[in-house]
Amino acid sequence: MIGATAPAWLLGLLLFPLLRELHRRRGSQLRIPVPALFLWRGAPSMERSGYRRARPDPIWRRRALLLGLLLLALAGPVWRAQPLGPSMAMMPRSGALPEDVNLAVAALSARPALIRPEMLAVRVTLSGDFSAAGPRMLQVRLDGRELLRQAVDREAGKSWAAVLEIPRPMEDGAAAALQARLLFADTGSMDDRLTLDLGPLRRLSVRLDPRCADPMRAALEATGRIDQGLAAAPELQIRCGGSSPPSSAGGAPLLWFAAPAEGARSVTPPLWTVPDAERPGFEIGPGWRAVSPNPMPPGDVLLIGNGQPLIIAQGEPKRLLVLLDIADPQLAAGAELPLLLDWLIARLTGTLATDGVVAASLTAAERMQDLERSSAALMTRRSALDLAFIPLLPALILAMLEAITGGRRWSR
Amino acid sequence: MINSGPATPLAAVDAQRLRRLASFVVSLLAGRPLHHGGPLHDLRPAASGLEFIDHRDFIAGDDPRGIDWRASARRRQPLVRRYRDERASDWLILLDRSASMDASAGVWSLAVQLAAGLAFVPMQLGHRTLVALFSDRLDAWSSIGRSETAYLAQRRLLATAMARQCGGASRPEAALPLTERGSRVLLISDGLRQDAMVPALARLRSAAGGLEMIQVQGPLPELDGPVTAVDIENGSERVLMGDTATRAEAVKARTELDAALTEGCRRLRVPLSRARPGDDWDRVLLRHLLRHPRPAVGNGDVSLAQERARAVQ
Repeated sequence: MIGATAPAWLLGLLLFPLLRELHRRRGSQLRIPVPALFLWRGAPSMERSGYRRARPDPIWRRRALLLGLLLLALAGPVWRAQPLGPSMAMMPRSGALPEDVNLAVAALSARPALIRPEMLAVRVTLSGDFSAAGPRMLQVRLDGRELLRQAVDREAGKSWAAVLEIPRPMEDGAAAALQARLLFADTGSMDDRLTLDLGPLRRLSVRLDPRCADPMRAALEATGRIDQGLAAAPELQIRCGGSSPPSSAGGAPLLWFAAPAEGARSVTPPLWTVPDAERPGFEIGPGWRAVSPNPMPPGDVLLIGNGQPLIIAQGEPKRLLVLLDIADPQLAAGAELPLLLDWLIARLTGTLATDGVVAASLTAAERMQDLERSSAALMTRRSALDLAFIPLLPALILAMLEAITGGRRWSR
Repeated sequence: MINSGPATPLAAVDAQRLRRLASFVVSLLAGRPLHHGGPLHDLRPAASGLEFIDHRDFIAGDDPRGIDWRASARRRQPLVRRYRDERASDWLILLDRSASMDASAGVWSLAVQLAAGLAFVPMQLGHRTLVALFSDRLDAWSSIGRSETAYLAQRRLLATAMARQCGGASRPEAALPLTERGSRVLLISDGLRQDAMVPALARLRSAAGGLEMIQVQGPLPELDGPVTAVDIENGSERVLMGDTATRAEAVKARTELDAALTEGCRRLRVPLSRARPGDDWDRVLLRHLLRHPRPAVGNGDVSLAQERARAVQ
């Protein structure tokens, strides 16, 4: 039974009328000077007899045949003795990935750059046997725009990584898809590319209250994720001062810091009341001072000290009320303030903290599934008799004749 | 003496080949005149020169001063002296420079070489030559002469001559003002005219003492597929299908044209030779000058010259 592995190529046969029309038009554009035109007065004129409309240059038939044969060869004609079932596709049952014969984009990660917070450090990790693979190119694109095209080092051994820095995406809601892919695909096509959403690392548009203390401004800038522009619709509002929380204006989440207090410092550290999975990776030491608004705002208490709520979370719109005196030099000078701010912002906006990492990788199961699918297709092809050589051979002869005769008829 | 540079067609017409050709012609003619004779050649030009040829019978109306009384006494009938006409020694070489001469590669080059060779050989036999270029008009001509200076001037004219790029036509009759009765005209052209150039040859033949022609023709251009054929001379166009039938028609038309020219030349007693690009100019000239019957004035024998010419070829 004859079949084709890529029958879409046969759609190219629809180009035949175009080829014929091009050859029909070519004649009137080719002007040949002759020493005496009256020598051809006995020859039929194409203009007078309508011959011109009817007949293109006869050489178009040879070229159409060449085109048809090439399209047929590209369509991949095969002869299958019997229909193949899925059982023909065999995979190793050990579960081990045949990395020796397959290169893969193993991981793609991005995190804020250490020196320049406005940039993201991207790392692409490839795995496989690079020496066994053919020449491969790694391409990194951000929203379809190529950022990097680099040849894969074939002496790398089993793993190879490329590191680059890209600007951190800023616009709210803008898609920021980072894609790393290997050009010239091999057996497993699915593991040749990975896509990463950089949305969680984008810069936030924040409206900052001018009454906020300088230490907090510095801490916010240190995160590198804050854009204090005059956005019409900020993603976050930070308000400072006042003895009671302000009313929410607009739909943006609110982070409110109470006015500095004059009370005594605590001698015990505060305690987090959030689940362990949500707890920040730092602790606030003793020596803090708290503000006691009257009345105490309702909400979920996230941090408590000396029996007094220090951070309160409220529902929609999201609000976090901070009753700690962050202008107090003991807290402002400590390393906890930037971390606390990041944790609060991340809790309000859902984005990651200062040193957040977004990463994507293929699991072993996914790679196995991909390889299984590719191998099945490969084995299906191998079990069938490839007939592409049949149209390819005459096409080659026709192409040679075309080159030898220089596009002229050989029946001269 | 002769140096036209390697890039011009005249580079192949060097002094050595010219002298060798001239010595061949002189030795093979064995004293016979270079110009063609024939049964109908004019009597009048032969009587107006200074060099004595022979006697002929007196005809009523002849000038009595031309009677050789001593010879008449010996023959017992009036005889008149015949002299070689000095004008018969003038050779007018007409080179066609219409655009069709440059339509095929090598035609123009060969024509220029033939003209340069033809200008040289008659000089070696004491004749004067003049080279003129024509298309649909008389374009340029050199001064007539038999000296080396005259030949160099003719060669300079040929070295700078070019076929017309377009337009023009082959009208050798445009050179009629240069022809004189008794001078010989040698025409180099492709003969591509619908009338096969026969009427023009007839006019030249009647105006000159003799006429010869060398037809230089290249191959027909290859028309492949549908093309617009453009006449290089008059610019007319025609869309043709370049296939075997079209080519056969053109070959047939040219064969008929050549046949008409051959017949016209035969009728006008104009010696005709044909040359194609790639031929050696000196071989073409030798063949032309020696192939056609060239009887000696009087009772000359041409067989010896013809045999030698065949041996050379």
